[in-house]
Amino acid sequence: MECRLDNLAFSWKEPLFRSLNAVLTGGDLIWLRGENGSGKSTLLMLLAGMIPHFQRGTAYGGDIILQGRSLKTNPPKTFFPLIGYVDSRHAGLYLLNESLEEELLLAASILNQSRQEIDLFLDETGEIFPDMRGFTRCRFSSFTPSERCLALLLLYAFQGAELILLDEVFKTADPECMMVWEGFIRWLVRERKAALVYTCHGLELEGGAVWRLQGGDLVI
Amino acid sequence: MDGFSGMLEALAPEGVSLLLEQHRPGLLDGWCEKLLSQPLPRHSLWSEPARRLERIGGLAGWVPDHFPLFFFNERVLEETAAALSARRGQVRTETADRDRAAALLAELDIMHLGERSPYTLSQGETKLVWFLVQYAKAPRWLLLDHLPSGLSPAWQEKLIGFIRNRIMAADTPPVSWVLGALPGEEWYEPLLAAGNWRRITWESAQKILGDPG
Repeated sequence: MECRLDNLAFSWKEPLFRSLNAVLTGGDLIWLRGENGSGKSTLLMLLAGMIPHFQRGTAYGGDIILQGRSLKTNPPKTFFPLIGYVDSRHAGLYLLNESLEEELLLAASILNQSRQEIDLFLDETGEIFPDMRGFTRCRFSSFTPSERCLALLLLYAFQGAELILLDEVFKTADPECMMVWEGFIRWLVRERKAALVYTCHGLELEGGAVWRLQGGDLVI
Repeated sequence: MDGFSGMLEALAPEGVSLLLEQHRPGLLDGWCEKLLSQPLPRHSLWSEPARRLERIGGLAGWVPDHFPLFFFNERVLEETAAALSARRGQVRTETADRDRAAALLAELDIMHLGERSPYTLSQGETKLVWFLVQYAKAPRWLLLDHLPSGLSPAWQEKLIGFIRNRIMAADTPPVSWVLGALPGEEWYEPLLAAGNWRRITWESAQKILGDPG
């Protein structure tokens, strides 16, 4: 997997990014940092293709190239299931069923996979999260926002997402939930060779790199 | 006094603020969400449950972490001024409201957001503006679950400094702050040192607050 930012420039009303250049490859773990309002969430929305396909600014220059194709001209659905985007504000909106088990069954039917492949996934991830099967059967309505985000990440992992974008998803995770988060992130990066970019104030995961948004530029 | 204010009055009477120690974040937000969203799907806006909700809105401010927030004005300054006029029961803002709103924005160091549309703000900026709007309504209680989340360390410090100053200034009418936090966190210590606080576990508080669902 390769994702390239080519002279990426973007403005909402005011210019936000001047000319960002960077490359993400499978196995990268990136902590995207910056002050409030520096554009962290906007950059993740650009990487997810949410911008410009669902929201537009006033200017979009350059491009983002994912697996050789433009995210600017190709809508996100054409990249399915490559991109996983979890945003703490709207996590619940992406879940279509009442439990993760039902979500996994739906995903399996879309991807022409069998029930056994779900079981295989649960066995594999069960090493990270011993109560994985119990978690998949819980109703989303009983979840905290952080648990809803975690469920969405697991769904993307099952679907085989290779570019995973996490926007402020740990901000209200309790220590136990945080351990599960960390376990899955490391597993996705190490075993699945996914590239993972996350934003969170004050949480540096060991072994990752830092990208800092500062004054419209990306400092790597 | 209805059930809602009775519950909060029992926990945080006038002059006392409340630190709710939660074993996991989001419990206070979850309680507020249930309480406030419960009447709406099943009742008309003129029903007794909806009117109760309106009374709650006049009494309490809430700064949630995860819910889409709604603003009614095109600029942050005007939104803050509207909250100040609303506390007098007026819809139209006056020059004095706008001046006071500007002073509040300056005090929180977000004057640079004054002319922005609230819908163009980042998550952290939205939280700061929503906080200020809730504060400007002069609620009897202001509820915040896990105040630092979503804010950079610099903005956490500014927000805590703002609240600390407001506690020291002994606002009139008085505000009781109700903060949700994990036990042993450091960020709330400067606040606890500044005023009269009651510290209570979420489980103990819930015996009084009940389950709104």
